[in-house]
Amino acid sequence: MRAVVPLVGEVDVLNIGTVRDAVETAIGDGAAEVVFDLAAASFIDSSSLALFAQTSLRVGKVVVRDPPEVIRRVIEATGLINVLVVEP
Amino acid sequence: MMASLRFAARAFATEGKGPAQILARLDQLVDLERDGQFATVVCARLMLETGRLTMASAGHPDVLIADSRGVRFAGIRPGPPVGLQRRAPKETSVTLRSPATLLAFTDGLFERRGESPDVGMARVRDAVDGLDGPLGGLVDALTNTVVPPHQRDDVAMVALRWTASTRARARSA
Repeated sequence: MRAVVPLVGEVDVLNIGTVRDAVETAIGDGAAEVVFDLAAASFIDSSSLALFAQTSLRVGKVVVRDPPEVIRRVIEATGLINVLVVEP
Repeated sequence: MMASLRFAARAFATEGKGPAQILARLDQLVDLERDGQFATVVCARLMLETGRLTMASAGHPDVLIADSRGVRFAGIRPGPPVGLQRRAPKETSVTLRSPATLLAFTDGLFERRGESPDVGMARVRDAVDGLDGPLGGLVDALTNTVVPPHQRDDVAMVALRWTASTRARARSA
């Protein structure tokens, strides 16, 4: 099963909780793949990157979909591109 | 966590391990799933007589090199941060020209909300381009010119200057 978790606007350590809850629900429901949809995200900080990486240790596949260019570069520069799938 | 990783890296280095091996060992000490955090680390080994510099990075910003060839980034290809239990990253080697200055730093030095890390890294490189003299002055000047006011993230920097030893110079003469 594939679960889509959207991130909207500015997501940082203060409001990452709702995203984390959505991941827990998805994994509890038996998701084998989690898609973080960043089409509507304007900014994420390292707490989101940690959550993406953490999720990759728990499910078979983690996709980061439609990240803004800046976020794509951060994922590459931090080497997380080795454990996450960035689409497109 | 930072402090314990630094001490562990030092211990592994005294065992004669290279940068990639050290990062692989550090990766075994941190567990993102258990600890809820990961760490980025850059590790470099400099052969004092030859200036041969070997580096490896676990998700850490690239290292800046300044010598007679100019100011440029080392071009290390980062593996994932430590804590993800992955294979060791690849090593990158360069040979420095004496005298050379190395600068390693955390993302707190250049990261600005909504800006590509490439832009921030270029800002650091350009600032180093215009600086010379003692290392203390270099670090102070970078802190004053590059770090934005009201910075919330912490900044760590390591600056190192290498000059070929007298013995090495005598041998090559």
